[in-house]
Amino acid sequence: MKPRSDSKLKNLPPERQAAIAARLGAGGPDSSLQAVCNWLREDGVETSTGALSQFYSWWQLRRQCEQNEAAVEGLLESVKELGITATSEQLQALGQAFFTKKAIEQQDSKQWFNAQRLALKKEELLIDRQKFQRETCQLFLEWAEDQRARDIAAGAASNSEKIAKLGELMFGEDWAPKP
Amino acid sequence: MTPDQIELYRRRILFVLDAQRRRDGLPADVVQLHANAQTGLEGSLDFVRDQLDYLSRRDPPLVEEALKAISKERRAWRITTAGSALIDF
Repeated sequence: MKPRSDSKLKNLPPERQAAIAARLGAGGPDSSLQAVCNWLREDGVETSTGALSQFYSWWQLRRQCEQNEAAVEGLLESVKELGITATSEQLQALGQAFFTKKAIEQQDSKQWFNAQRLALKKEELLIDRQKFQRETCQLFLEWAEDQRARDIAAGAASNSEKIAKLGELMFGEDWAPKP
Repeated sequence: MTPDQIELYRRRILFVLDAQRRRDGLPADVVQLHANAQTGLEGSLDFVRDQLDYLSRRDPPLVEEALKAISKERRAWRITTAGSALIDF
């Protein structure tokens, strides 16, 4: 996992982030990922639909946390007002337990579950692509040492003929390229 | 889980901790709740705790304990600057 520093959406001011999230959640053709992407580009923010999807999931999680945290603060205030004697550790434990309970309640909502899964597909595709690239490089290293493969690559056949021969050599019976 | 699924799951743990930043940190069961929902995988609580420990032992650490409790059930976690830098969009 390598860090990158081009987190455009994550580094926008909170008001701007709220405006983007509101647009994404508004429904209708203007709220599609592509439409919001175009809208942001007109405003000088270059991003992708994948990044936007990630942002929306992240923003919803953050908002949920803020709401739950406010509920925890309210509960702890009530405890103090009631004059209940508790150590700071007991209050902390109460806060954590209440926060967890709120999170579980929200997770039970199907709508919330679906919203959280928005970004998943993109990430899965990214990992698949990274895996494919890694395996391709690995295969290249393996077959670059193979004399038969080198002979095919250096031969006078056309590119498509070389691909067909290399495919048969590398994958055997599994080789079934589409025309 | 396959190595790719574990990688995906770890990224989601960081994603959840990055979004849900609390002074007291997130308990492992809340991390589990969100990470499972987001990945569609069923990571057990022990699995999630192991992943949090793994991420905290990276150099630099990607997560850290916010609430160091005696019992493992009471531990809570938050993301580090290095971990947050990996959440990029």
